[in-house]
Amino acid sequence: MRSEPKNRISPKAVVVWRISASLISFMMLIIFIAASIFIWKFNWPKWIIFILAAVWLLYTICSIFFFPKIRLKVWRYEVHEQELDLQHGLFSVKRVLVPMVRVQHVDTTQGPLLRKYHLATVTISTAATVHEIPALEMEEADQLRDYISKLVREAKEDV
Amino acid sequence: MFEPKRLHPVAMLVKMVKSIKEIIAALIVLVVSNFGHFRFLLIVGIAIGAIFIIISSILHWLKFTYRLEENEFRVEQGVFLKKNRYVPFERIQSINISAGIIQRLFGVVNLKIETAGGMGEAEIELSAISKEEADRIQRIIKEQKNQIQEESAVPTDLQEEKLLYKINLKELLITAATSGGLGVALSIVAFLSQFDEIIPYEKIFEQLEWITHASLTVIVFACLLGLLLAWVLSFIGVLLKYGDFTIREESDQIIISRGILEKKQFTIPIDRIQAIKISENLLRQPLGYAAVHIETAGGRDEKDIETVLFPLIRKSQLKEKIESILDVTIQQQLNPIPKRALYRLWLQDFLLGLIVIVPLCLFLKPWGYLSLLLIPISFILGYGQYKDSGWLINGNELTLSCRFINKTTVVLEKKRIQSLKIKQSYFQRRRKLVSVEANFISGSLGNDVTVDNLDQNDGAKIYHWFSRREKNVL
Repeated sequence: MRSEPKNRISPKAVVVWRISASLISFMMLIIFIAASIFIWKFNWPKWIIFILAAVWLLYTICSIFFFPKIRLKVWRYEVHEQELDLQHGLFSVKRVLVPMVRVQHVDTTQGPLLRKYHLATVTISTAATVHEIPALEMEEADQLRDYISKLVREAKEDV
Repeated sequence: MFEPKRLHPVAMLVKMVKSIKEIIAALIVLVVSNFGHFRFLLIVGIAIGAIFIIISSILHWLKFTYRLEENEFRVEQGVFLKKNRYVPFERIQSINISAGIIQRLFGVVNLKIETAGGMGEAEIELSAISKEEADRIQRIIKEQKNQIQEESAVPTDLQEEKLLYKINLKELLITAATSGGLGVALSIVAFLSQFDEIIPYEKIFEQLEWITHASLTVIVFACLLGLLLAWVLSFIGVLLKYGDFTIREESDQIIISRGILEKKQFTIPIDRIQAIKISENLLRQPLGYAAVHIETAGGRDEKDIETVLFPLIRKSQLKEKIESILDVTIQQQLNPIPKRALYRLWLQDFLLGLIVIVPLCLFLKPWGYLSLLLIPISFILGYGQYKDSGWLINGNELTLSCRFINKTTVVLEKKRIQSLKIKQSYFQRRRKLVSVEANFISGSLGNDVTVDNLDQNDGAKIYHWFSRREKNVL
């Protein structure tokens, strides 16, 4: 395989991912508590509660402390004249090639969390798939979007 | 040619049925809720509704006329609000002729005229006309269209429709008999899962008295009967769906028509075909048969569709038959995946099996042990997955084949691949293996084909083949 793509995403992504992971984890906690009350009331075996608690704890620790770091480390992208080269993944590393001729449109999107940290996500859509480069500095994201869009307009089919 | 014409009177019936269909849900609710002493009102209401539908259908038929005039297809309709629609011949993209159950009963057809783009509205449907009339319209539009094209100095050679393939009785019967493969397997699983629910084990021990051999026989018998019934139903369904299956070719498109009760016709421009999918299910593979699907990208407002190209085809004829219709090369022999992938597949399938086996053995004693049969099955399946995975690059074409339960082979042109993904998990990295995923436009849910556990170097070969960058950066 070729060497990794050159560019990294913003290190602030870790913070954003941690916050959203905490929110999800919190919601799961509420569901877990509801389930526990249910199990208690209906006299189901108590060990189910312990297993659920252990699963929740493990998930929370991993998704808040470990996963964001790994994801940031793996995330790379590079824009070439003819194609986009992306690399991302958590348990498995994915390397994606998107030819410019196949790109239909490019967007930047930004949720409240990303806006707070002055970040944006670039979304690249083909006729069959959608690809994201998450958490770039806002200016960088805008430039990237315009640059890809320009390359897409210039790209010609090579076959 | 110029005089306005009405539809065949059957159109009234079609319209009525359509109106009833639209309100049937509301009607059922009304009838079921059964208003007690309002029943009289209900009957009056239904009667009024029925009269309204009948009258409006008649008026609709009376006021609906069409004519072919000045190179335009003109339709005038509307009882109170007049609606005229004129569609120039050169804007007409396709003419589809079909026949539903009502049309078939009266020997008439439904003719649909579709235009390119046009915000979806510019479309004409003649719900009932005679077959001869439909042929006449088709002929006139075609002739006029060609004339217009010739005038604008684009000479096109008038190509005749050519019959490429027609399903024969034997093929149809085999298709019907073998198509239910997954369905039958699923119903077995569904039934077995119910079996567990019906007979939880503690209860059986408590109430052993009533579980006699007779009742067990009855259960087994009912189970087999249910399976047979499911199979017969699917058999009939497939017969009706694929009866009369033909493929015709006309200039740059192929026309597929099928169906006994309800005729369906698909017109597919050859240059819109995205991928060819060859699938062999568990029943067909040992018999040496396969089914072929094609994925087609729709135009601006049309949907992408997945169509059956061959409901059933002998594997030995696969290459010749597909290549006679489409401009591709079907590869007989693909590059295999490495032997070390086999151990990984075995481990995966075994672990997957354990998820089912362990709880069954722990909580459903005697009967749960039956699930141990899954262990040899998982090894056989793993071997099948290993043997039937493969890849091949041939010029601008990529062929990938894989198996989860059924074997699927996909042939893709490079320019039809929307994006390519090479994946490597931690465990794959240790064994120097990768997975390759190619995405394409598809009318069905799965728009990708993934082959797992290729040799790392082979994965890189596919990656470089697809990459449009300078090839020297290897």
